[in-house]
Amino acid sequence: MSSESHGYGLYWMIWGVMLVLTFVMIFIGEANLGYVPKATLLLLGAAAKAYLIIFYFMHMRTEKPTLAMTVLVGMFLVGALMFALPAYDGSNVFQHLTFPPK
Amino acid sequence: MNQSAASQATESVWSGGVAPFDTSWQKLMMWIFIVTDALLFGGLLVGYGVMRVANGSWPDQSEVFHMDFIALMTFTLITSSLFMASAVGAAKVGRKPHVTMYVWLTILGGLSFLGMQVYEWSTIIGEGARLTTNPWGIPQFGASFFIITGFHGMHVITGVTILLVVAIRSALGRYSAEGVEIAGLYWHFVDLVWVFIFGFFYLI
Repeated sequence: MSSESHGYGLYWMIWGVMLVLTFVMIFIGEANLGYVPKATLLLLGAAAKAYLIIFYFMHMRTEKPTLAMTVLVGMFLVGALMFALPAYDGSNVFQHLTFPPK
Repeated sequence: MNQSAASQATESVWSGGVAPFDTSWQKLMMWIFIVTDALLFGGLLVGYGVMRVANGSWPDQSEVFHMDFIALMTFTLITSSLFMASAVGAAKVGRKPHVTMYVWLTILGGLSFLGMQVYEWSTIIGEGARLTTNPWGIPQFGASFFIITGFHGMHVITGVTILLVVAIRSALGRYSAEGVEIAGLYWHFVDLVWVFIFGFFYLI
């Protein structure tokens, strides 16, 4: 807590890494890759940025592991499940979705 | 052996007098709020994902948005997060002038982001996009765009309001290091959400 609190060097470093990650993600987004590799790489990029924000800017690394587990499992496991199940369903069930509903 | 050791540990936790999270209730409640808010945005992004998969095709974002401009918005938000982290760091060691300065810089970043979002929205609306229709073919595209970025923009407005309160209190000398930290948690969360909106809505 003491060494990184004064001197904002660490925060600037994290900021720089996040900028690089952002540019890499834009590059991947515009690259001519398949849909699945692109989505995987962008997901990894977003996860890396999320890690930097939560653990360094939000200081999760100096919190007790109980708090980290409570928050991260809640956020990401449920989020991933929420994403995985309907996304698979969406490709099968909602083939002829109309919007706005008639 | 193991079982009795485990039950002893459990008893000692449940018999009270311990702080399992070792934080104040204010900070814990902010974290719990962040979890619920993350699930709200998770739901919005899932809804968007389902509609996109169900549609089969989707407008090419680089034809609709100016990606350089979206990158600038991302840069602004990341930089404001850097200022916020610096404000929290300064508050921890009691450097009051730094706290005030960095909080104001964060507010400036938030306001610039909002200004750019207003510009983006008015451009897209000017091109004919509405909640239910848009010129790029897939009706759900407009709905996803306005609802997801609108929810995020509302969070930025809320964050700027919270930071204004912190800035005024800090100018009056009535701030606590933890108050700045909790406001910072919310602000970083707004940045965190944008990371996923940027990745999933603008880039994929």
